[in-house]
Amino acid sequence: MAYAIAGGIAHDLNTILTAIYGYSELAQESAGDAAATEKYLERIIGAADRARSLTAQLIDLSRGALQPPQRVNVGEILADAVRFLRLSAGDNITIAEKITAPELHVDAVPAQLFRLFINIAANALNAMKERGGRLVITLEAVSDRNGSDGEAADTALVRFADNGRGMDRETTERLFEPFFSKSEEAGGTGLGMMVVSAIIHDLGGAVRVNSNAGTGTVVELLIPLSGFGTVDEKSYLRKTD
Amino acid sequence: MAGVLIVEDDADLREMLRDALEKRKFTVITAANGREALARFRPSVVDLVVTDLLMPEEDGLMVIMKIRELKPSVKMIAISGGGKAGPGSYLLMASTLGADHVFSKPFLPSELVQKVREILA
Repeated sequence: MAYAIAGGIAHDLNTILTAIYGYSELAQESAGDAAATEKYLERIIGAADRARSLTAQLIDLSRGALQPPQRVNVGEILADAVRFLRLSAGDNITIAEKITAPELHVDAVPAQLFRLFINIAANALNAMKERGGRLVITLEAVSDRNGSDGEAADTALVRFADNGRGMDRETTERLFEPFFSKSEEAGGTGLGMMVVSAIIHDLGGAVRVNSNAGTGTVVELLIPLSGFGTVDEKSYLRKTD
Repeated sequence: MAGVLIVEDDADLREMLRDALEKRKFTVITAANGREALARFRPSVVDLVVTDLLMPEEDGLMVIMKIRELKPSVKMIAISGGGKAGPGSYLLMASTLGADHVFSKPFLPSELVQKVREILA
């Protein structure tokens, strides 16, 4: 995983650097044409912003290594994220939260968890920005141990369900590949969901994505509760499918 | 003036290359991925293709092979920022498949323009 992420970061940074070099050279050649120079400088700043977004993802990824995880309340962090998202969502988008288990604790770095939620929700908002829509964020406690009913919860399930443009099967299957991005027009770097997956796996959890073109996307994060081991994704899938 | 098809999935870079070539009076067509490139390719207009190698739909190696089938005389330049197999080996594959020149990102647009002129001379 680390090699693939490093390769993806190098690829994206080289692409961004080419744009920065290129627009810088075009700006040099445009001396005397203020409008052209201004346009090229704006493009340079835009490309630098993308590089900053990339390094922010790197920091997110390394945060778990730099800071020790602590016992955190998932519901509180999710509620903070929802407040933040409501400030940035367009008027044509509604965000609903359904926190059925407000006292779920997991072992994580709070800032990393917050950025993780924001990252996934931002993809959902992006998928709804043209036509508008509804994002429903749910937090509940589930059990993945052997799939038996009535067992005590051991896993936090955070679900992001939007009714945006969705993705076809091929796109969904390739979502976690480092070079596969559908959000380039929005300035994406193509590493977002791969970073999400890497962080979640570091937490001992799992990510699940279901999407249909035209109807929307559901992203589910399974994070083991404090004191429990790695999420058994296969068991969870058997139980709910 | 000669026609150039730019195939690059990164919007910033695609537009930068378009600006650089249009300033030098080339006729430029752009495509965001291999599939678009094949749809937009016009043998009578395009003399040279500049293609990225790692793209979401129909990667650059497929672009090189399929466009060569449509117009064997078309010139090709492959560009890459690196990848799973390493930038060198992926660009080497492009050369093997018939790319006239390869560039590792980052590169300057003036270097590309100079190479385009040399290849089309």
